[in-house]
Amino acid sequence: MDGNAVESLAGELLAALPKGTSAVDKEPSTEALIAYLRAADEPGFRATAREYLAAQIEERISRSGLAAK
Amino acid sequence: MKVSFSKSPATELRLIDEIPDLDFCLLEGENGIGKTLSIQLLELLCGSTPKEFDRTPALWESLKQRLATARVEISALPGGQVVAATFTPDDWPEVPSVDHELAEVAIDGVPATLAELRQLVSVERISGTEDLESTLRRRVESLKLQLGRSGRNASQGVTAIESASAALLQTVAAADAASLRTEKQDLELAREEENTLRDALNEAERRLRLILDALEARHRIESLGREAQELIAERKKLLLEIDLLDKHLAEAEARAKAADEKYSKQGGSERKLVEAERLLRIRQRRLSNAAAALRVTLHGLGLDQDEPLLEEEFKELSNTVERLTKESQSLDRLSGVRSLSADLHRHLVTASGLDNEPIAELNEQLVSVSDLRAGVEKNQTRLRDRGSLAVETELAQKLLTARRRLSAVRNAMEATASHTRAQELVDEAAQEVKAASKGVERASEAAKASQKANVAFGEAKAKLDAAIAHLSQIQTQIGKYGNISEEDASKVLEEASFKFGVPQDELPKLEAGLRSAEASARSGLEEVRRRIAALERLSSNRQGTLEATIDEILSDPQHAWVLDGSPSLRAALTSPNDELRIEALLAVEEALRSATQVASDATMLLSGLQGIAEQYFETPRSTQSEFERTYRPVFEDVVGKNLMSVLNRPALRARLFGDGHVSGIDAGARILVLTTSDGEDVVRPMEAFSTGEQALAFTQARIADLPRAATASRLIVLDEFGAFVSADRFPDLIDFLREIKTGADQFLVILPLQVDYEKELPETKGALFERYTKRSESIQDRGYFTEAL
Repeated sequence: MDGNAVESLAGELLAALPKGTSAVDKEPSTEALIAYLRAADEPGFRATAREYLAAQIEERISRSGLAAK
Repeated sequence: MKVSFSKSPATELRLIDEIPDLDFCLLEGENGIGKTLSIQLLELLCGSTPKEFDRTPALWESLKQRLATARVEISALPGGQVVAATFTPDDWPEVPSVDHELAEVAIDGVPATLAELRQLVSVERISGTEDLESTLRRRVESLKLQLGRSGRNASQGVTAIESASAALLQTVAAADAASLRTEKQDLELAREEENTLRDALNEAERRLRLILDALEARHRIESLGREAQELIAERKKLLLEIDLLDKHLAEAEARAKAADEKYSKQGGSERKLVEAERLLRIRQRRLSNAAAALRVTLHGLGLDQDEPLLEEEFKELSNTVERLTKESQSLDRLSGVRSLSADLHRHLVTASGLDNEPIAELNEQLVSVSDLRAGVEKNQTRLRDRGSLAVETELAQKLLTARRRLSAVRNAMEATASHTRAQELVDEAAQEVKAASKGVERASEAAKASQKANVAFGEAKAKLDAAIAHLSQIQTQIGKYGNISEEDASKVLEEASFKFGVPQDELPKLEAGLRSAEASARSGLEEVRRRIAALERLSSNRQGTLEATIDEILSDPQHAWVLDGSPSLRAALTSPNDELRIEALLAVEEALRSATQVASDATMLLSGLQGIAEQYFETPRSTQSEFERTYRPVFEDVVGKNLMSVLNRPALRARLFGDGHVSGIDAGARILVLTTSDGEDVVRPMEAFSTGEQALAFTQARIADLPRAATASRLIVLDEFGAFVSADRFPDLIDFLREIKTGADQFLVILPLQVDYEKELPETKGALFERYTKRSESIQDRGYFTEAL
């Protein structure tokens, strides 16, 4: 298996689950979980955690439409 | 790469001599010559613990005791390096460990470490005993390791996220933007409620006032008598009279004002008369002076005051003075010529020696000194004849007399003019005195008119004041009976009855309810106003905290990372829009909390999945938690599909399943579901495949599962393989290896001795004979042979 096997497995597992059967299936979203696993598997994530968080904030503000107000 | 093995004298184990530098190499030999041990030594050097050591720990101890300082040399590497490793088993740990420095390493003769060796070379040993279960176990094991690694990363990530977000989260949480937003919403709702309650109170007050007016009217109607009605009637009449008097007073005032203005304009007439008389007196005195001065002047000239010839004498005297002046000037020039002639003659006489010398030119002829002197003397005689001193004296006396007379006449003329002007001014002043006298008469009439108008105004005002005083008295009297008439009161009652929809008799019953409603509305309004005030204080305080928090985020260097990483946040926080700033802070808090939650959930998920992987092959499973029941089937399905995708690779599928493909796997039941080219599903137990077929299939799957080489050179050893692969399958294996080979890979297939080549020699000939001969010789020499596949 390649390096993304865990992310793929987690993604497939979450996608295959009946909706609402697990706490992890509700909030946050599967995409967020997978994105986090991918980020955390990157070497030196500890050093880039702030960049990850800032990106989460930027994404949330952009998604909320606040930036366009 | 080429690998050479050499023993020390103390080595009690057998090793092969070398592995040649061939991409696809066959090594076939007798049992017990050290084929597997040599590969195990390579595995140890390259960081893998041979699987036999896990199953049989005694092998490690045996190796440690008998290996001594055996040596491995690796050459023909892509970078040209030569790696030498001399084992040091005396220093090995008691249990197998590849983390220990198991050998002294040198790269190109320079001492190095095993880690450096492992950056150049790697070894993978694959057993030819692969089957479905072992493949599944390996895949699950691999997945378990990866889940463990990712789980550790995810767990460490939680710590990293919590650490990175702690300061910012604490700052943002302290602002409590959510509460501020709620309070602002509450405040807005309360203000809307205030408007509603204010309207309700206004309406309640209006209705109460209406009913009170009606009740008051009802009371008035009941209490009003004849006297009150007469007073009200008189008040009406008096009000009309006051209106009329008011108009008269205004007219009288206007007339008095006009008369006053007129009188005011004429009020200075007497003063003007006094002034005119005073001016007349002054001018009369000046006229008298002028007349006296004129008389004196005329008397000096010997003339009467009324003498009319002054101007003619003035002209005659002017002419005489002009004539005498010219004559006097002529005599003055003659006197000058005489003086000049005398001076010239004196000089000419003294210059007798120059008589003949020319001294001047006259009419283009030269004049000598003697001629000039004679001419001067001759002219002096004529000059003496033209005028004597007596003549000059007489002329001067005449001129003086004429000038004096002319001056006196001029003075007399000026005195006459002054007298005439003084007379004119006296006449003018007399006219002004006359006009002022008439003004005094007119002013007297205006004063009388003004006085009369003011008297009329006073009378009108007195009448109005009296009427108003009378009205006040009547009002006081009426106040004892109420302020409205019976007619008006009846109208109020009718209106109230209509608006409330009840008969007039029942209006009193409404008062209590309306008073209660008004009090309730007032109380509600006061309550909501108190609530608004409290919310405003609360909101104001929290708004201050919010602003301070935003200032801190924007200015404190410890928060710079979030602004650098989120331009939208910076824009939102610097916006003048309060709502936008609040939402931005909420977004930050939610994002930070969500990120922590996601990381925590992901860690839990991986931990759960790792638990499933750990127990995958246990029957019965130790736990049946909800997580297990939910996730295990999905986990198995995912693993099965993953394996299925490997088996359906073209290189394997055609060899194992012909035109069909695997459409399902039940690992527990050891069943494959094959779908033929006709679309028919065929269930085949794994036992239905021969050992050789399984070995071929799953060994290829194992090889295909290998990650890409991490080093520049990798040796992939297919060990214990030949017993499970029939000769007719071998070309397929070689083809497969050629298909998947990358540049870094070198394949070594190890087989036990297949044939007694020496015995077979008599039965062969040609190329086969030659090959068998070489193999036989190599086997006799070192117990094995190698050749390219």
